[in-house]
Amino acid sequence: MSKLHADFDWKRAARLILTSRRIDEVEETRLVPEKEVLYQFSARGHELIQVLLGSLLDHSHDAVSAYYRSRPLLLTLGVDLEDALAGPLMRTGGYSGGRDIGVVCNKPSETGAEGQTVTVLPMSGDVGSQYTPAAGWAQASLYRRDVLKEKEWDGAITVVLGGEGSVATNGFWSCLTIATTLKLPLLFFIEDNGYAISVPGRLQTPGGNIAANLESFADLAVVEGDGTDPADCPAKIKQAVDHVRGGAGPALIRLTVPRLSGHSGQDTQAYKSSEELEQERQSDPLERVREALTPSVLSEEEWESLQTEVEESVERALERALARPQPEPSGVRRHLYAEQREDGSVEVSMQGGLAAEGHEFPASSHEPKPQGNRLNMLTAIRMTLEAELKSNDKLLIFGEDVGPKGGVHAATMGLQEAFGPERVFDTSLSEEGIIGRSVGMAIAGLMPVAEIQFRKYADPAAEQLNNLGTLRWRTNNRFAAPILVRMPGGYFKCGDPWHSVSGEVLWAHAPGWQVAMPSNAQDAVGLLRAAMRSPNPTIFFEHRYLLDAPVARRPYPGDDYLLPLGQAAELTQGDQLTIVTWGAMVERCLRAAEESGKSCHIIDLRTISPWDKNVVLESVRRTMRCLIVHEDGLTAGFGAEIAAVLIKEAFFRLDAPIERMAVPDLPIPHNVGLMNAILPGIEDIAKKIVDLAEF
Amino acid sequence: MAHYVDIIAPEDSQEGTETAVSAWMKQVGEPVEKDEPLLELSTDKVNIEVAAPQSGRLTEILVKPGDSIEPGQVLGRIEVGAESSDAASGEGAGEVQASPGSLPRSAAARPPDRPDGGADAQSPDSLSGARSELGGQPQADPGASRSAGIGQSRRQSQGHWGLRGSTKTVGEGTLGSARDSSDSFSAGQAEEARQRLSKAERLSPAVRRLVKEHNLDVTRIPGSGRGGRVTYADAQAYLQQRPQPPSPEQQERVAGDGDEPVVVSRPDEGVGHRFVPHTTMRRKIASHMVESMLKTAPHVTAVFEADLANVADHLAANRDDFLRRGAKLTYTAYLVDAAVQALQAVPEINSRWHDDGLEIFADCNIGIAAAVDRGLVVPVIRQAQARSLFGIAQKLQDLTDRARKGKLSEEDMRYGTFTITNHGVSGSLIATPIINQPQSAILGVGKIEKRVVVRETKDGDAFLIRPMAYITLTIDHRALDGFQANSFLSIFCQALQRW
Repeated sequence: MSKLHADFDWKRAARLILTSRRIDEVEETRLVPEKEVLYQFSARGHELIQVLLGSLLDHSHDAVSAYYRSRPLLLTLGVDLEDALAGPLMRTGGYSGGRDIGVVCNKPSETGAEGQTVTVLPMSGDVGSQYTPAAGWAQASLYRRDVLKEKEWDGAITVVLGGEGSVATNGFWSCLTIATTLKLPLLFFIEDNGYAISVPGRLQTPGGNIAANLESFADLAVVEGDGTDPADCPAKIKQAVDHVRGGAGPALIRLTVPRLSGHSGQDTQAYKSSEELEQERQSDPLERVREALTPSVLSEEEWESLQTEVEESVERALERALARPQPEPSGVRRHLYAEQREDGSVEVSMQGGLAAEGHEFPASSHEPKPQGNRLNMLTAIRMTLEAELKSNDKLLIFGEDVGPKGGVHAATMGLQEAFGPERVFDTSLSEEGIIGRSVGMAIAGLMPVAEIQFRKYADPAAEQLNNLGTLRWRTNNRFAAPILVRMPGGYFKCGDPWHSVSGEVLWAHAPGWQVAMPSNAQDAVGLLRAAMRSPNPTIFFEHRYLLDAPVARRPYPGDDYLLPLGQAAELTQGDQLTIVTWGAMVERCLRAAEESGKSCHIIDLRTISPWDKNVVLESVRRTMRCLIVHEDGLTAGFGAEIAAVLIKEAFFRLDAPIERMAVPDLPIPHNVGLMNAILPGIEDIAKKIVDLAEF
Repeated sequence: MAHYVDIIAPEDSQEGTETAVSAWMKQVGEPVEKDEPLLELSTDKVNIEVAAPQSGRLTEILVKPGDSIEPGQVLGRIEVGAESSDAASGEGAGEVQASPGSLPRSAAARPPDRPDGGADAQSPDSLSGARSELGGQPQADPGASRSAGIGQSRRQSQGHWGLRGSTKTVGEGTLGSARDSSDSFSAGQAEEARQRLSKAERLSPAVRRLVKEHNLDVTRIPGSGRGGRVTYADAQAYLQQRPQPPSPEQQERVAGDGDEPVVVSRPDEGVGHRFVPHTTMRRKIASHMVESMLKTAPHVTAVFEADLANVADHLAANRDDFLRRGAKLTYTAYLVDAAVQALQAVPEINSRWHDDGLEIFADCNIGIAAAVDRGLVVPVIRQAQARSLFGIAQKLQDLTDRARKGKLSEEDMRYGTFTITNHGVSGSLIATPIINQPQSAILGVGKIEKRVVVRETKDGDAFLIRPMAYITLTIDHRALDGFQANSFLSIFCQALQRW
């Protein structure tokens, strides 16, 4: 028996390993059969390496991005036993207060007697999504150290945990690219148990060994070890952590472990042979730790009594966890967005965003003070970004081509030159990486402003966008990650299926997002500023046609102009018909109304999440007729939602059917004639106005 | 003769994975139906139910929850045959009830247990309750019948357009939108849908509500929408220009203004003063006329002239639609409708003289004098103010049909508060009818004939040919004065010209 690594507290390690093992046993043999736990994920076999890793994370700004089998690590990082048990029992408190699966974990950093604790980033349930937020935290840690000059961030590292299955995901590769190209202090901690549910590792990476395959990857230290061997893995883990903490850039460690259980409580592992199962049982790290520790560290009796002690403490914690009340159903709608208390103050999350650290913005005004010549929307956006960069040193702008080029639409022209490549920078070509990184940065207390080059390119980021929207709700307001995502889209002089997509309804449907779609330069300034100071994440849709359209030009309304989201603009007064529209269709509706000769009340929604129901309802109750015009597709477009609300709320005030005009359910074609054939045209709209007014 | 059937673990659904028993849904001794789930097996992520191979009684359970099982393994046994007689007996049913906890699925599907098996028979109470809700009227008590009947007819009349219209419109709308899922409705399809719907049926929710609230007759409102659709603005304009019937509060105030005590009666209590039939109709009429004209009321008659061109047009335009919906539309219907408007504007006309005061009726129960074989009858349209033109036409048709067949009942001719005699149908131009006691006035309508009239046009005075009729109102001068008669007639004629 080789000597035990001296840098680890082996008695504590033994206690933690036994504790995690005991919780799994209690869940598997009692709580699952009794249907107290409905979704069980066991960490049996993974305990040793996580406990060792956890004991090395001693920096108050370290962060961990965890996954399904991370309970041993969470216990090592100080998660209370009762909380760890209450999660799977779906009780109040814990990671989510019963909203999420018990092992989908998170842990805000807290300052206690022993200083500030490590942050466990809010995990998402989809494998691979844990990676890029970790890159965001790692990049933010350098930003806070180097740009904000916060010395306490020096030496902080980020660890992202994943199984061998996760190395096949987009997120893994996106994160690997970011970490290596930016030399981030990020450790990839791969727990290779051979199976992603039932799919063997050889289908995730050739030969089944990601470490071997990454041997030649530039700027990445690669370490491998036996995750069951107390004589082997401690040194390897320490080596990897030290490499990253020393500032030498990212590392990847692959540790082999057995999965001594099914993927979840429902998995009977019938796809493994009995020989293989037996072999896995033989390599149980708990047994090997026991062999290594007894009798040199603990006598057999001491081990036995430690085991008994652990069993009793788990039993006591379980009793308390079971005694916790079920979450109150009346509270289930809370915390999707930041909430205001009765006194008007925001109920901030424990961590994430500027609000959690008490950031104060310069004064703003809801009154525009237009000055000087009219600017196009593009310039107005650039000036607003510049003003916020100036007044908020936690704000960063990034995306594809936003650096020296200044953006393919030129919205960030000159900003990198003025503010430096740490604050305004180009990213690798991965939207998953752009958005995932933003999540980690926001949780680390920064205000990321991400540019998605064209609306359609948000597709690869869908997972990160969706997970971010629900993040505050999923963690029951423990975490928030307010970010701003600017995305140009819509038709231009010509169209095509890739650069002209609208599809804004997607984020009105996805919980947790704010969606703004301004139709002119002044609104763009006000909404952009509101979004950059909001405690909630925002999609800011920059319509390509409007960026330089004369009709969208306005004088700059001032560096303090802020237009709260959810306030529609009433552009014309009229009593025959209400027209609800937004984005580039606003101009077309204005002209069509004029052409029709009918008296129209035109409402520019400006934001579709939240949308200004009151103004629309008040108008339709008066005019009794409504036309909704949008560029997004007809079926299940946002107009359908508006129409449904009107039918319910204004039923007895409707004197004509509610009409929608939108692009039929087709992509935008390239040929100008084809494009114009499917966009709602001024004449089409005018005809529809007459049709409705004379109905 | 009882025998036993094995419950076998299925072969096909396990796909080589490990299978374990999750739970039994039945206990030993419970009766089971063929194909009823008995126990649940779990494999990797898939749960399988094992159903009873035969009906019978579960007698043996051979595997317990958590046990691993093999395909083909015997899981339990059912006794078949022995319990079938038990099931039919009360004892069998009692057993089912005794263990509701073990039968969550079937228990939920069953109605609440009735130990005597009487669950199927509805109690007489609930049955009659259901019937009367469906619109049937209790017939036993004539008094109750009257009030319920009147209330009922008002509700039906008010709900008529709304109910009928909404059913149809929703149906059509659904069809239209399902057919046309692209860019909303096309003009052609919409037009088609419009044509299938009559004017009264093509109402938006907003107009439908106005119609209901104000008891409007939609056929009377000029529609400015496409295809003559009545828009909300049309309905509102119509509401504003039509004479407003005085509210009950106003009536109370008018009645209470004088020094003498005045009784304002409810229709179902005050109008119970009926005339007593004589042995022959002739004698009855004679007596009545003498009584009215010579012994009771000093008669005074005023004469106006009405232009019926609009009525004629409206009648021509709506005759077919009314017929299709089941009523013959006649001039008389318009006369009743106009009389209601005039009575509501001058409510004292709708009254009965008492020595100590004038009894003014809230309801317009309008009698129509009709010639029959052996004389004259006056059937009454009760609460004519609650009827649309269609409702009036429908009731008129019913009454005249039965009058011709001699099938009118006494009830049909009671409770009149005002009478119209359409003497013009037999050629008379002007008549001074005798008041139908104990009412206070009677309206006479002369023959409708085309006459040359002088009208002011934008090109100066012009001779026009119009269908005209002389209208007389004969009043009881004890109760009423000439100005009331004239104001009644003026409103009456305007109402006819407004169509």
